[in-house]
Parts: sequence; C-alpha cells; structure tokens
Amino acid sequence: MRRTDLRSAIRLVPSLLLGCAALAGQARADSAPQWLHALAAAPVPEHDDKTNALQLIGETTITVRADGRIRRLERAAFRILRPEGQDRGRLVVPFDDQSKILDMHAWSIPTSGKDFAIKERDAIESALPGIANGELVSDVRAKLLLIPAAQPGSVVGYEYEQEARPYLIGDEWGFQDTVPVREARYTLNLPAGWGYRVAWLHHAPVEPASVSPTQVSWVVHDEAAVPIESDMPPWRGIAARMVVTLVPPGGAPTGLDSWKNLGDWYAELVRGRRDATPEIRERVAALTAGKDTPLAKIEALARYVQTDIRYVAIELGIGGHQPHPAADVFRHRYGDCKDKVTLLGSMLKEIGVESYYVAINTSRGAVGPDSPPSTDFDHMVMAIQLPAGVDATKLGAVVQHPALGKLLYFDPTDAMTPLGGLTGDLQDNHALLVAPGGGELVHLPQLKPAANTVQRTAHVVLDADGGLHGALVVRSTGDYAAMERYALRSVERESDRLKPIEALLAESVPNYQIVDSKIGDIANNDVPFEWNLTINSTKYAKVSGDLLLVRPRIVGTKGSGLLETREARRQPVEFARTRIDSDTFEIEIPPRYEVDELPPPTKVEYPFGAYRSRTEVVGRVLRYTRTLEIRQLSVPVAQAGDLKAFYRAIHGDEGRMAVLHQVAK
Amino acid sequence: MTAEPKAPGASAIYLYRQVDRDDHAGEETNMLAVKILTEEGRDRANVQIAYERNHEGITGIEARTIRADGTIVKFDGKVYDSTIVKARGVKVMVKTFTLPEVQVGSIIEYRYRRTMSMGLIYDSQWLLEDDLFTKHGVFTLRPSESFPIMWSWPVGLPPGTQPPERKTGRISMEVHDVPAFVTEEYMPPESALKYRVEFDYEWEMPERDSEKFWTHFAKERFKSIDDFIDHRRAMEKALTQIIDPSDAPDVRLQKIYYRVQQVRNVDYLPERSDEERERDKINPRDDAGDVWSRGYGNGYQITWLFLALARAAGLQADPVEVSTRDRYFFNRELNNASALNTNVVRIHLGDKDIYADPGTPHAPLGLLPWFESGVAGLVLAKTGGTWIKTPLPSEKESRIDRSATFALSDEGSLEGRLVVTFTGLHALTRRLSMRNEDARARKEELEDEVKRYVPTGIDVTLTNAPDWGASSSTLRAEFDIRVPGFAERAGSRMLLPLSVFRAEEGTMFTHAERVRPIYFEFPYTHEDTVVITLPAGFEPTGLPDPFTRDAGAVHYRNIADFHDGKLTERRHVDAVGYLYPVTAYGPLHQFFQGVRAGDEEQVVLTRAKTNASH
Repeated sequence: MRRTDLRSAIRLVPSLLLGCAALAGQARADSAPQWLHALAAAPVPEHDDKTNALQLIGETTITVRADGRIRRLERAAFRILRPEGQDRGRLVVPFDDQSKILDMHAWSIPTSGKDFAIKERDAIESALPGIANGELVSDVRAKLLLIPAAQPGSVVGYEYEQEARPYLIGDEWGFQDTVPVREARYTLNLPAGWGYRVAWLHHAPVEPASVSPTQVSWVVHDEAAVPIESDMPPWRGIAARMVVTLVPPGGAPTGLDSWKNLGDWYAELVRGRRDATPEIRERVAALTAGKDTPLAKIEALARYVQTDIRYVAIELGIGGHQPHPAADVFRHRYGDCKDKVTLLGSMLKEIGVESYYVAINTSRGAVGPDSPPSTDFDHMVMAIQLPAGVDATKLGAVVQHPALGKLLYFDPTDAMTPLGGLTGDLQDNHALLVAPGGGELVHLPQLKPAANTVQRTAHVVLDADGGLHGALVVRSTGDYAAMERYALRSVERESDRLKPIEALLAESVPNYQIVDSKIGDIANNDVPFEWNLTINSTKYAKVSGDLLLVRPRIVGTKGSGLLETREARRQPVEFARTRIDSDTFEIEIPPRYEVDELPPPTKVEYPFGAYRSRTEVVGRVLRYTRTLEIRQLSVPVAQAGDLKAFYRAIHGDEGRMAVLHQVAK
Repeated sequence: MTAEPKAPGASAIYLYRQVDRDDHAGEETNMLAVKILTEEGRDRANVQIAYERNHEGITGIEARTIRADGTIVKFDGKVYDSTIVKARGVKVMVKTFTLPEVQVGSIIEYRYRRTMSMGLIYDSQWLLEDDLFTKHGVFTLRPSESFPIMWSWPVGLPPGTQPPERKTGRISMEVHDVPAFVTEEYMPPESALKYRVEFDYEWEMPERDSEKFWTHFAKERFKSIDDFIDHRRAMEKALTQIIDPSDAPDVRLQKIYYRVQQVRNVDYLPERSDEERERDKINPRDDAGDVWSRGYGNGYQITWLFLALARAAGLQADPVEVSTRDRYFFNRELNNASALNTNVVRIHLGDKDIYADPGTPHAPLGLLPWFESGVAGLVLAKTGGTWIKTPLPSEKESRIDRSATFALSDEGSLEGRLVVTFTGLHALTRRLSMRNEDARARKEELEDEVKRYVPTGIDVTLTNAPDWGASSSTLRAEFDIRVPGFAERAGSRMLLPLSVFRAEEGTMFTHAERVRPIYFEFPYTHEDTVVITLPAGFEPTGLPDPFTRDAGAVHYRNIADFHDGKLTERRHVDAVGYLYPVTAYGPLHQFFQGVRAGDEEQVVLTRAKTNASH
C-alpha cells in the first residue's frame, strides 16, 4: 500500500497549492448549535434515491445601513443523503475590496461520534485568476471552509456574516437550489425612511410573512430542486429568486431602480474615458487612409481593435465595471472587453461615428425581457450607430432603434467574428444599451440559420474491394468558421493541425488516410473556412458475396445522445446557435456493379428544425444529399420528445446502407 | 522571424532561458527571452510568478518588449502581488504583470530573483523541457556547503547535451533546441518522460555505489519494519481469532490475508478533514499490535500487520518495498530511496512466491493493483536487500467478458440480456474507483459503461446486485438491454452490423502522428460472445470472412457463425503488453483502424426461401 513520502526535513520543496487543504481543516471540537441539532432531530422529509441532499433551512438576513452599507447574515443547513451530496460540505464565500467577511462558522453532526465545529480561521483563502484566458488580475477572492464529516447521513450547517459597500444598492434572494429546499426565509431590515420593491422571477409572488416599519420577511416552503442538465438554459435564468430594489429616503436613484438609471450610472462611470489622444487620431488616420466609405473605415478600425489589442483583464475595485481610458488601452495595446469597446468607440468618434456600450450576459436567458435592473452581465460589446446611407444589407447584426436609427452590434473582443456577425451566445439575448438618454434593456437579433453553416462535399471513387478514394471539401461559415480558426490558431505544432479533420474522418471512415490536405485561410475572417482533402480508405464498403454494401453518408454525425437519458427532461434544450448544414457526397459505383437497394429518403420536420436526406443514382454515381436546419435557439421541454425523435431519425439515416450487386461480365 | 523551423507551428519559443541558483546565498535568478510567433503567442506577455510567502520572496523584476523593428519598450507598469492560497502556515502568492505593445514578431524579456529563507535548504531541479521550445538554455547551481548534494537526470538528457559539470563550486550545463513538452493520450507519466536534472541534499555524504546504497537502505528499513512487526505475543493472540492451529499453510494464509484486509483502511475513506483524521490518529510510532487492537490503520501499516501475522503463523513472509509505475518509472541506479513508495509482502508457499497487498481494499490474495504490478521491488532482510520484479498479470487474467443473447425484431431492434464479467485488474480497478459510492451511483456507472460499448442510443438496466464489497477476482453484472434500430431494413433485405459492442477500440489512436510512447495500465483481454436470434424467416445470405489483425503486441479476431436461426459473433481483442515505444505507433494505429473495419462488417439477411407446396 502506498506510503507517505518520507523525505528528510531539510528537503522542504515548496508545495504551492498541494497540502493547503489539509492544513486548513484544523477544527475546534465544539458542538454544533442547538438550532442545527433541532433540524437534525426532525424527521427526514420524503425524497427519492437520487436526491443528493436536502436543504433543511436557508436563512438570509439583510440589514441596510443609512449610509448604504449592507450587512448580510446567511445561515443554512443540509442533510446529506448520498456521496454526491458531499459538496454541501464545501462553503465558499466570495469577497472583494468592497465586501468583507466578518465571521464564518460551520458545523457537522455526523451519524456517530461527536459534532465538528470550524470557523473562519480554518478557512482557505483563494484567488485563482484565469491567466490562460487573459483574466490577469482581480480582487475577487473566496474563503473556503471544508466542513468535516460531510458524509451521507450527516447534517451540516453554516452561518457567515458579510458587510458590503456596493456600488449599486440592491439585493436578491435566490432561494431555490439544485437540491430540494424545505424552508427558506429572507428578512430585510431597513433604516427609517427607506422603502423597497420586490420582483419575483420564475416563481409566483409570495406575500411577506411579517411586516413592520423597519423590517419585512418572507418565507417559502418545499421548493423543488432545479437539477443541472446538459444544454439547459443558464441556471439563473430559470431558478426562482426575489429581486429587492431599495428606495432611499426621498426616492433618490440607486442605479438599480430602473434600466434608465442604470444606464445613467454607467454613462457617468465612462465619462471622458473615450477621449482620443493625438496618437489615437494618428492611428485612425493611418488605418482609414484610402478607405472611401464609412463602412470600410468602420471595418478597418474594428479589425484593428479585434486583433491588435490583446485581451488582458485587470479588474480591481470599480475596475470590474469601469474601463481604462482609451489612451491607456491604446498605449499598452491591451485591455479587456470594456476597454476594447472604449478604444474602438474613441476611434469611431474620430471618423464621425457614434457608438454605445452594450453590457450583456453571455449565458443567453440569464437576463430576460422581464428581468429587473441588475448588473448581471459578464461581457461588454457595443452598438455602432451606422451613418445614413450605409448599406447594411450584408450586416446581419443590425437592428432599427427608434431613436438612434440603425444600430450594428459588434464584439471587438471576439477576434474571429467579422463586423456584421454575432456569435450564437449573443444572439436573441437581452442587454443593457447605454444610450444618450439613459439605459435601456434591448434585444439583440437572432441571425438567420444561414449565418452558421457547414457544407461538406465529396466526390469519391469506390472500388470493388470496398476501397474509396477521392476529394472531400469541408466549408464553414459563421461560428463554425470561427471555431475552426480558433482551434487551428491554438495548436502548438504543425502536425497537430490535421487533428480536427482526422477526428472527423476517424468517427466515420475506417482505415482512412489523408493523402493530401490544404487548410483554408486562417487569418481572414471575412471568407468561409475550408478544408480541401484527398482521402483514401480501404474496406469502406463491405463485401458480402456478390453484394457491396456502402454507406452513402461518408462523414459527419449530426445526431446527438443528449436526450438518451434515464430521467425525463426537465428543462428546455438550448442550442448554441441556429444553423444550416448540408452535405453532398457523390460515390462513383465500381464497374460491374449495379444498384440493388437504396436507403429510403428521410424527412423530419419540427418547429425547431428540419432534416432531409436523399440517396439517388445519377448515371454511375450514388448521390447522397442532406440538409440539417436548426431554426430555434431553444426547444421547450414539452418538445423534448420530438427532439429525441429528431435525433434518432438523423442517427438512423446516418447508418443506412445502399446495396450494390455484381452483374455478370 | 515569425517561425522557428525546429518548432513548426509554435506560438512562441524561448530564445533564451537562464536559471542561476545559489543555495549558499539562498537565491535564484531567472532570465527569459520569449519570441512571439503568432497572435495566440502574445498571451506569453502575461507573466505570473508564484512563490510561498513564508519561505520565499520575489524581487528585482525587470522586463521589456523588443518590437519587431528592434526598438525597445521598457516595462514600467505595475506588478500586482496577489494571494492565490492562504491557509494555516501556508501563503502562496503570485507576482503578476503584463508587458506592453506585444505583437507577433516581438521578443519579451524579463528577469527576477527568487530569494529563499535563510537557514533552509531546498532540493531543486532544472526543468530542461518546458511547454515551449527552448533555443538556448543555461542552468547553474552553486550548492550549499552545509550538506552533501547528489544530482541526476532520471530520464536522460536532450540529444546532444553535455551532462552537468562541476567547476569552481558551481554545477552548470547548457541545452540547445529542446522541443516543447507534448502530452498525448495513453502516455507514460510525465515524470517518466520529462528531461530534467534533480538535485537532492543529503544528511551525510551519499553513497554513490548503487549496490552499497541499497544494501544500507535495506538494512535500515528492515530494522524499522522489524520494530513495527516484532510483537509476537500480540500477534499470536490475534491469530487465535483468525486461524485454527490445524489449518494448512495455504488456508492460514488466506484467513489472515482476508481478515487483515477488513481492518479499517483510512487511506481509502472519502476525503476527510484534518479534524476527522485527528480522530483516527495515525502515530509514526504505531506498531502492529496497535493497529490490530484499535482496528484501523493506513494501508502501509495494514500491509506490515499482515506481515507480522503471517510470520507469527509460521509462514515464510518477507517485506518488499516497491516503486509504483503510475508516477514515474523506477531506476535503481539513481539511488533514490523515496522512489520506493509502496510496500507489499512476499510469501513463499510450497514452490511459489505470492505477492500480497492487503493494504489495497478488494485486492484478492495474489493480485496487486496495476500500479504495483510488473515493477521493481526490494525484498528487505537483516543482511540487505534483493531486487525482484512483482508479477504482471497476463492479458488472460485481466478480462472483460461480454456474453449476450438477443432477439432481433422485424423492425431491426435488438432486445435481450447481457452478462459482463470483469476479471482481475478490471474488477479491482472498478471496485476501487466506486468504493465510496452508493448503490445508485454504482448501478449508473455500470449502465453507463455498457452504453459506452454500443455506438448508438440504447436502453439498459442492471438487473443483478454485483458484489462490490468482495475481494473477489471477478465482478459480474447482468443487464436487460434494448438497442433500437440496430439493423436496417433495405427493401427485402435487412443489414445487420456484425458487432454490437464496438465503440471503445474504434475511437483509439485515430491520429496519424505520435510523439510519445504508448502506455496502457495493464495487459487485457476483451472477449465477446453475442448470439442473435434472427426474425422468423430471415437468414444470412452469407457471412463475413473471419477478420483477424495481429500487430504483435495486440490481437483481434471477429468470427461470425450461423446455426439454427441464430447468428453468433465471437470477438476477441487483447493487448499482451502495457508499454510500447513510439515506433510501435504506426502498427498500433493501423491495428485499431482495422478493428474498426472489422467491427463494421455487415451481415445481409434475406427472407429464407421456403419449400412451399400447394
């Protein structure tokens, strides 16, 4: 059996992260508080055998100070039912320079033996910026308490207190969980003269359980779990929560009381940040020299900011919201999403084009049309006000704004999507437009399926032994072209460039060999991306006596096992994007063989998408054509059965064989 | 220059890398020059230097960007100092900065000094192979004069590299054109591949003669083990509860082994906090009597408890320290005692040697977990040590046998029953990985495994209660299974893929090129027997020829047979070894492509001609 490494004491090799968890669990042998024992003693509510844990209580007490500080006391208890419920023994409390943790305690009552008790000094403090993604510096940290004996049968509980001085005053109560909640309470303590409004999202409104001039509280019981499923809408977009808008004395705006005021707050935050310097003006002039239309100039500036400004996020304090000045971004040649919007806005202004900040959440549905004002955004894009006369017919991401005219949405952080395009996660999404008259919640357009395509064409020759050789072309546009380019630009070895296409071939073509390959233009986002291949395969078709069995669908699988699950689907299915894929594969029939049987055509049609395939004989060629169209970004749970049937029909079609038979000489 | 011919496709390369360490002064100076070759390579301008605050400091950071035109932008920005992890006694910090104006063709240069607390001396290593190609690397070390130092290069040196030299109090070496380290699926552990030079301080002058070193080590280790097990009275008392004096030696051995394995093994409990560990305290001064009387211990102690009991029962048993092959590959010439990181017991019974590790739950007597199999071990004795190699179960001993009986419907669906029997290391690895899961999770795990066997959506339900808690050599699972749309109707014919269970090998080694050796955990056999009752009136027009592939170390055959309305497929895959050089990749790639082709063979079914008479 493995033994602990017994290295001598002088060999103190720094272990960095390793071993920290072990050091942090030092606990005091106190017992759990009475309230937790009372919960542990109560009968276990009914549950099924797949319930990982039950939340016995969730209690939030918010105390608002007259100066805008907010004190939060959180208390919760869980009964762990399965090994998968052990994560309830990990208490993670984020904090930053605007919010400090005043106290933390956690306990467990195991099935046997004494209670465990730990507190803040036992916590691990952690901050792991994602340098690989350019998230370089942030002041967001977290304290982690690992609650002992978080095992099936145990009851674990915790409470912590935190004080924050938020930039925008408001709160929300998320009382639903991925496990069932037996009871949750929310208490709001207000200074004299303050008021509040609440909005319930994904839950029927609940009347306050008690109200006094300075305190109000709500209680909910037996809230069902919202389990995690693949390709589901963002959890925040479906889980129940109550959003609290605070109203200071006299009704002074808090920023979170309306989208308009939130936009005003942001406009104030970015005031002066887009002022151009002589160096910026000089670069604008250089980049637009020789461009004779406003659109050509916009494209030149957009491309510059997309590619020449490196993505680096340094977010400290208000820097999580406020961009760096355009002058700094330009000088350093780096910045985060809002910095890029700022610099491009500054440059556009130099050619007489206005643009606006657009704050968005890349998890579509996290902010919806009914969402109350919030800063629930994780990305900044921009809306470019197209000058009169610009031909916008080739620009997909354009909407007509009642006051601002034609607005072109653009993401200067995404170096792979050209002007006019919009990645799937931004489409049909809601965002805060920081317009001159204040903020407003706007809807970004859903582009047509034809904006994202994969077209595969092949012309191959089949021999009598089942071997196949010929040409294969894979052509992609929109998000698919961006993904291909991203994958290829990220490889570190020339020989790795073929791996994506090898993976495509390997899943469908046995004994494949790439005889020749040409990779399309990786750098130019304005053209479709193409693979041009010459391939060989032995034993592609199967010989059975005087028959030759050949699968007309040479490559590409479009079915999915997403809904082949034990449990019935509970949430809608979200597609990353709408799309149209089409394949045309031509297989030359070997001499002395004739077609005996052809696979039947497939045609399935639903509101969310359609699939059609057909195999025919054209002269001496077996011709397979198919089209997959995904029209909707979201499939309601009521149509999950249709989607499953849709995928099964595709899968069935993809495996079908044509039968050729040998004819006498 | 925006490309390096010796590193085609690289996003960036180290033009120059220098590490000067001075253990006498307690500091290390690092200098790096990185050439940016692609837009993605610009991320190298983001620099993070981690350090342990209680023992180290980072000072003297200087950096600059050299533009493609040769002009220089000196870094004058902010260096951020952030906490990554802070816990009791540990504070890991990181210095972060990003260089300005970095574009393709730029060179970024930076240097910094790492200072170490006085009074502490650290082992160290030169990483010669990093995540970027290194054009030129220079490494020096001025060792401490307080302790003897040993250095070694466990996996060799990059081709053309001269070994480190010690001159005038410094050890130094240079490297040129070292490729970036590449990771691939099914490769040996990184530490068995990565070029590096390791420096270890010793308490006393190290013994350079390997034989003497290990003899000394074996004697010392034997002495400490002897102290642990030498509690004859306690062991004899324990044996009265385990064996009968009349038991034959092999029965005694089995009874002791399986009883000791029942001692609560704290190494295999779910993740625990320090507070929980404190309640199951393991004391370095524990002995076999303590472990037995309190009823728990770590795996290391449990294995030596077994040794103590076996000896007390009159069995010939020896302690063996071995080196697992999941972290590194042992080389005894390196005189690295800590590489012997595991213990087993050798029992000599009759004319056989049996290697046993009761410190691994569920391991049947005589079966070691895969990472302890086929590895070097040192049998310890009072007079020294003897090197042995632990047994490696053959491919015939670690098996997955799938036996299925299906009925094929007119519509092409398969429905029937599947029995999967995992044997040897296949059974043990599954029991270990699911040891702390509940019945539902184990059921789902087995059902999901069956789903992975079949390349289409299936309905599968586990119907028996596999014996997860046993230390048996087999684990048997039974399923009801339905595969909708498995066969296709084509006019009057039906086309039936030959193999039902074919998804696994078909996805292995799909790429044409490979850099690393190929490493499986252990030799194995997969054997399928699938019997399909055809729909009434259907029979095959012919059967695919027997399909075989033999790449020397791996074998495949797939044979179809038809009798009495039943189509039988017998499919066999085995791998007789576990480590193959990269030169074997071509044949392996071809082999697995061939497996796929064989699995995709089709059987054409037609309605049988009837001798109708009217």
